[in-house]
Amino acid sequence: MSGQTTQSHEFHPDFKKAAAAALADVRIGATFDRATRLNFDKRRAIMPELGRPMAIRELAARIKDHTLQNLDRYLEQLVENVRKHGGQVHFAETGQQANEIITGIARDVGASLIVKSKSMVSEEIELNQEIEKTGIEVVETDLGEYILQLAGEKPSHIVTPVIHKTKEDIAALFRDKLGIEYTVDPEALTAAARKVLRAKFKAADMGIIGANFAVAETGTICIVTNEGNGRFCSSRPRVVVCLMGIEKVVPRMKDLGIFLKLLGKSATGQRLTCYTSLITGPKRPGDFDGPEEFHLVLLDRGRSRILAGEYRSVLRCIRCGACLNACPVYRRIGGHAYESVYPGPIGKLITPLLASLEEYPDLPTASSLCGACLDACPVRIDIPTYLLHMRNELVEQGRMPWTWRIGFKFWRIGMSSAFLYRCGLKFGRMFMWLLSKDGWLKWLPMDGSGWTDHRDFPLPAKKPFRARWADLQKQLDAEEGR
Amino acid sequence: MMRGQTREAFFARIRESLTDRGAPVELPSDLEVARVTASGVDLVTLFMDRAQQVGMRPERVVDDRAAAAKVVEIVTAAGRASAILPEEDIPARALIVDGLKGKGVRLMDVNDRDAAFDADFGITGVSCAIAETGSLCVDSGGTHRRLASLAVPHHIALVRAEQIVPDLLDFAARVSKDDIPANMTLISAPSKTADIEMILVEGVHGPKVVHIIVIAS
Repeated sequence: MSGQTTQSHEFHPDFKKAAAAALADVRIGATFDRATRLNFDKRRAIMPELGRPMAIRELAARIKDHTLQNLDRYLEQLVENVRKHGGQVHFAETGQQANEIITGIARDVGASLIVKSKSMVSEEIELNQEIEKTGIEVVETDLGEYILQLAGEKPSHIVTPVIHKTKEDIAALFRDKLGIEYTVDPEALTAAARKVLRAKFKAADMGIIGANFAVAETGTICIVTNEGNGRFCSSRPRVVVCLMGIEKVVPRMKDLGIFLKLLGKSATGQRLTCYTSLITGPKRPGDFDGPEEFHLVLLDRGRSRILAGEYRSVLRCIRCGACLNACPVYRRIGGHAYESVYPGPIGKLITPLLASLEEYPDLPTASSLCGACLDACPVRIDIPTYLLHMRNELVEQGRMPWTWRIGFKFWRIGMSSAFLYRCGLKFGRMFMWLLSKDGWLKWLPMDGSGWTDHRDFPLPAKKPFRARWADLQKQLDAEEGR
Repeated sequence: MMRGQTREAFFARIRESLTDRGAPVELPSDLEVARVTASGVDLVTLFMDRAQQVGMRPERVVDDRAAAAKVVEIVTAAGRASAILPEEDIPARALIVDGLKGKGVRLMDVNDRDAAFDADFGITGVSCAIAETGSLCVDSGGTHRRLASLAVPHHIALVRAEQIVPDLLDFAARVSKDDIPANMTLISAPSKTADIEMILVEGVHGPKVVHIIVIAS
């Protein structure tokens, strides 16, 4: 993986430090645990409704693999069909190019107010900051994203971006920024945001949307929102711009049906998200409403590099967030500790793949490889195996500490012969006895401290299992008179 | 001015990254394994159950006359009200117009771009409905008004029983490749959010209340 750094400013992610800080804040663990479990349980409750969910998930994975393998063909088809329906298509290799394209369109059409619906890709390229530099106002219209914009913060979850905030936080924020009376009632807070944003929808001259999917055979962009803001952004303004990562394309409308069956259920346990919009170009001649201009911006930004390598199927991801909700690490440390647009299990893969492993060397190791993410993933991305591959890359790059390298060398030797394995166990037991205190192992040197800092280990049984097993066998034999 | 990359350069890079495409994965042609709803079931009942479960308010009537009466009843129950009623092909439209006018309900000018922002009710037809997900499909185009099912606090959708298709797969199959509208939206619940502490709030940007009147004789 070669480095294409994404942040324009000086930025040195330090996962270990950020995770330690998150762990020290009990509120983070409690908040994320509660929120993620809710959606985790809802997903598990509704999936059986699909009859044969695993077969459908595998079908979805196959469709994505086929599409990625022929991505050039399907993207060409998408471009043709968007143009056929009157849309304009732009091509961006980098985030900077995408920003230039979009700010350029905004200036060309004389936009003064832009309404935007949620788009993770736009977070990747920090689109809002770039638009604001031009003096044009851009407003996030998803309630969660709007709250973040007011607070000047980043999302902590790809589907429910503001789960790190309490209603008290939001009450104080709205009092300070919107000048409303302090209230912790979610109804009242939502109503306050609705009022502000309705006026924005009415006045906006440009809308920016992301894409959950794009259908090659029709040139259709599919977006889903629960609040209806995506519909507003794509229906009301005179100009609509869709920013889309190249991996979002699916071949046929019927394939979209498969993914829609999975997305809402995996994300929030909904049969279907409240609003699923299929957008195909600008309004047609004779239509009363709808945008006069429709622009599609295709963004690569490292995706073609992922396409070329062994991590291709990571691009199957439909950004449902199910792996985040299932992950014991994410549940404890929350989204911000990953210091990336994409947190959680899928973030541990996508982030180093889109940027570089040099920049994020700790992410692939931040996993117990328990496999809950694979279990949850609607498109069956084998995240644990990929994380192992990345760890392997880290070793090959000589990025593992020397203690680990030596330790694992001994491990390999020990595991390759039964005799050495038994010797190793004996030696390990002795070693633990030597370091123990009052029958407990309370301290291990060097990297071992990671195990003992937060808990004590009971010492191994005096008589190991193997010996007891042998004795038991003898006893049994004697009883049966053998 | 050229912004971004040329199409040629953009695709050249993608093709280059696919130099090794790997063992071919075939695009499955038969997706029936994903069918959840067969055509044999009682679609009206399933559709109404599913819509109800997510907070929409479906009601069943036997004919157009009863449908119009139901619409008038819902609108007038809200007191002095206004409604936007696009000139699209809405079941029982003429009867509804007469009924609402008779009760003094203000019918908004459909050619006012902002009408839906000020109306209490938006009354529309659907292009189809999906039993599997309890969804209404509304299309853009012609006399349709996109905001009539969006910017209003109350949406009333009129659905004929024969417009209900069993499964999302059936919906996908009936989308025309050549004649697709600029916008098709599946409405599967009232507008809602759980962004604040996962507490459900309805009526964020779109309708808080969605009435569905199914005409099934």
